[in-house]
Amino acid sequence: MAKVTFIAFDGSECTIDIAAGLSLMEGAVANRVPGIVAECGGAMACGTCHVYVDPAWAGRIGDKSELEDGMLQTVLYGGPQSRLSCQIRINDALDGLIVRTPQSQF
Amino acid sequence: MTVETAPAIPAHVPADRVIDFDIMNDPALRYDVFKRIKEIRDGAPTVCYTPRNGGHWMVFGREEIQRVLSEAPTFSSKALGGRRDADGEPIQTGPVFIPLSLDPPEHAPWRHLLLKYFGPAQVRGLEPFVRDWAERLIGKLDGRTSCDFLKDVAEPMPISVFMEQMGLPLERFDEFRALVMAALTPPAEGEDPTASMANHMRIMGVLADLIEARKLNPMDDLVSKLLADNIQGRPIAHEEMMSLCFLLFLAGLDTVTNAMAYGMRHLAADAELQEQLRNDRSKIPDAVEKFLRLYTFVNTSRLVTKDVELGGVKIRAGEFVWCMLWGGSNDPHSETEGGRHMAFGGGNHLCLGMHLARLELRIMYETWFDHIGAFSLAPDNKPAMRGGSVMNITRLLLNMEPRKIAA
Repeated sequence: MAKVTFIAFDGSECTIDIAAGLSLMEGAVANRVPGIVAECGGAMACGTCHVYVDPAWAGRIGDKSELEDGMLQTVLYGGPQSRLSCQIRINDALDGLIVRTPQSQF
Repeated sequence: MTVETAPAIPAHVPADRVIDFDIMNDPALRYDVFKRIKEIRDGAPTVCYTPRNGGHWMVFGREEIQRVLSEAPTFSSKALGGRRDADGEPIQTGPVFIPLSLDPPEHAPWRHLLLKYFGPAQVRGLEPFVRDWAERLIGKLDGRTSCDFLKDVAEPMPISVFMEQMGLPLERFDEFRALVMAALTPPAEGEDPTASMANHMRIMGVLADLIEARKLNPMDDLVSKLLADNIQGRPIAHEEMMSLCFLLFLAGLDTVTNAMAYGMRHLAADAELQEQLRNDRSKIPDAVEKFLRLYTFVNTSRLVTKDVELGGVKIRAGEFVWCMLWGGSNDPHSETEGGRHMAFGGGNHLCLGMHLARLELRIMYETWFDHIGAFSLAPDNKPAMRGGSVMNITRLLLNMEPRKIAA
């Protein structure tokens, strides 16, 4: 279990508990976190679960695959902290994780 | 005309899961596909079986649909269209549509190749020419008091956008539109089926000429960019280019046409929402999503490749499952309001063109409200819809008032 805080573009915050083993996207969708659309449901086919990972956590969430990197070239408002939340697997060590959501997913 | 006798129900299908419904030819679909699909859904188990059209399962529940679309290759895209040959075997040898009829792991590299041209960031760049085409078509309606929205806007707009994006010369618009309309209209009863084959060949001919021309002389269009691109480190072969281009052609035209027309049909009967959108354009994107949800018009099928249990019932390898996406978008057991709809499907084959579709829809509404005043449905009591994997609307007659200019 990890507590994760999502910070929306307008600055509003939302903190939820996500069970270990789920993806960050699955946790967000189950808790209806605003700003995460996740149209494909985790198939890495849409790029609409885009988040920015707080730099303090970047080293702890695992590296991007080549495919994820390619997907991130197609999102709006992409940047160096961009990740797809469907590709981040939650474990207990991620308790306290902070991510931000973009202005819009499409 | 041949009368289809319903084939026997397979022994493993429980009787309480059977419903006799013809998704292609049910007469009530022709008057209102959504009303009819809702009726069927409300009276049937969420996973049910119909003996019509060779026999297939229908899945109406959101969770079950999401599972079918996410679990490839158990639910395979290889036999697209849900057709069987004379011996009752699923047809897997038809044209391979890259990437639509590929399963993982073959599918992903193609998907990611195409996403480079259809992602939200890339599609934003198409806005000026989409707007230009909307202006040209809707501008022509200034001063008119009635129109067939299909003929005047919803059919030509996606065709012109497709031609411009691909690099097809727009002076051939009329010729190309005729080919498109013939290709997307199923042959009428008694019509020579070879005519539609000949039409397909003509479209393939146009695409082949375009590919050859861009090989010699690359320009700033999608065909030229694909020719210069690579798939897993090698150039895209000619047959693969043909497959991709033909799929883009089939997938991006009548779908956008239908989405536009079903949304406008709703608005024509909802004066209050019309007024809200006319006065506040920032409400258009939410209205677009609402219409996609209420009028989800695609049913997508998968071939089951191993015995599996779905929605409490056993489904055997070799059977077809149709995902009734309207059911997924409007599932009463799932709080879909505010959540996502399934108009674009889901899983790895989620509609590649969804961002382009949304752009075309938004700009069509914005331009429409710039030009047209209050509008309503014109009397029309002939059937204008049809069932199938894409549930089409073929006519939408509107009465329009001129736009009131504020003094």
